[in-house]
Parts: sequence; C-alpha cells; structure tokens
Amino acid sequence: MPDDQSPIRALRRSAGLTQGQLGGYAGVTRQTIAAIEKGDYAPSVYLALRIARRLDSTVEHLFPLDKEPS
Amino acid sequence: MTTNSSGERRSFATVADRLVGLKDPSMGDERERDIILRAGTTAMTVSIFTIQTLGVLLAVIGVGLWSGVVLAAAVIPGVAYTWYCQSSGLDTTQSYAKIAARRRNWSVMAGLAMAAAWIGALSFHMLTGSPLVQAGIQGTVGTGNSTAIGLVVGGLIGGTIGVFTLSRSSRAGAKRNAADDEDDED
Repeated sequence: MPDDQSPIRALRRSAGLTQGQLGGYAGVTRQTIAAIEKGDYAPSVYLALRIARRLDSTVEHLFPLDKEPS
Repeated sequence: MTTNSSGERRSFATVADRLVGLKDPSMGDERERDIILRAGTTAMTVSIFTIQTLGVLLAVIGVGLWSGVVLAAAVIPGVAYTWYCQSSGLDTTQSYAKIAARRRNWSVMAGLAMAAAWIGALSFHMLTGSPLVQAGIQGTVGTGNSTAIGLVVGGLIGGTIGVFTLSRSSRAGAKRNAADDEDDED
C-alpha cells in the first residue's frame, strides 16, 4: 500500500504527529508505525485500537479490508 | 498467547519463554518480536540442515559411527519445537497434515537424501577400509561386507519406518482437523 494512500499517515499528519509520537502513544517504535503505514505489518487488534483512538478514527477506516497485507 | 485445554500454560512453555527472554525488553514491540521469532524459526531450520550436513561430511572424511552422534543432535531442535507446541495446546500433527504436498515431498526427499548419503559414506568406509575423503582421521568402523550390508538394510528399514510413521501421523492430524471443522462450539 503506497504511503500516500495510507489513511493512517494522512490522519497522523493532519493531527500534527510524527511517527515517533504516534508510536510512543501506542507503545511501539517509530519503525513499526512506518511499517504499518506502508502496509508491511498488520498490527494486533489492541494496537490497532490504540492507534485509532489517538487519531480519533475507527479501526475499519484506518485498516480497510481491501488493503489487507498479504 | 495460547493455552492448553486446562486453561493454563504448562510449565515447559513457561520455562522456555523465560529461557529465551520472551518478555525481556530486547524483544521489542509486537512487530519486532514477530520478526525475532521468525528469525528464530529460520535459525532452527538452517541449524538442522547444517547439523545433518556436518554429520554426513564427518562420515565422508572417516570419523565413522561417531558421525551418527552429530546426526542424532539434529533431532533436538525438532523435539524442543514439538514439546513447546504441545505444552501450549497446539497439535503439531494437525499442523503437519496441512503442509502443502510439494513442500512435504521436498522435505521427505531431502531427509532421505541425507540418510542415503550418510549410509553410503559409512558403507564405503566399511567395504574399502578407507573413507571417501582421506583426512587422516582414525574412524570407528570395522571393515567387512556384512557390517556394510547391515547398515544399508538397517537404514532402509529405519527410513521406511520413518516415512510410515510420518504418513500415519499426518493422517491422524488430518482426521483431527476434520473433527475440529465439524465442531460448532468448543
């Protein structure tokens, strides 16, 4: 999934957060946030929920099924 | 985290997790832990093949029957793997039953090739009194046709038993998979 199509990246930027800041809130490293935004890693349910809560969004919006990593 | 049927993780998995430091900060976050654990699986697979190859090479250079001790060591990672899975409530025979046919066939062929290479090297040593590759090592094999023939026959019987056991285990796992699919509820 290209970065510019990542809803997580778009919402994170509009919230004025860096990857490191979002990672710190969610309890993961900056690299993990980067991997999630690129579609290289699918987070666990609770990590996805924490990210969605921080970005004032829903898991369904941040992780659309048609973009599921293989 | 998975649990066995009693709802508690048995002691082997708990001890193993402590040994490998599963909750140590060095395991990182969930993605890093996932990568590290996959790297561990890769390391186990490479180690098994390396140990088996080493056993064959030792037989080739004339170490003799002691090379069998090295080959036996290749079983240890698999035993630990199966023990951990069962300790955590995972039936490895069910997992094995789901292996893609091509992958299973290649694995069996690789194992049989290793066994044949080891038996062949030892038999050559026994029949001729010299190893395939001279490395100046005093091996522990006697010479003689009967010993070599015994080794080959024993290897064939052992290999047949091994293939039969794996096949039977796979069928048993497939039956358990089918039974699981039929259950609506736990």
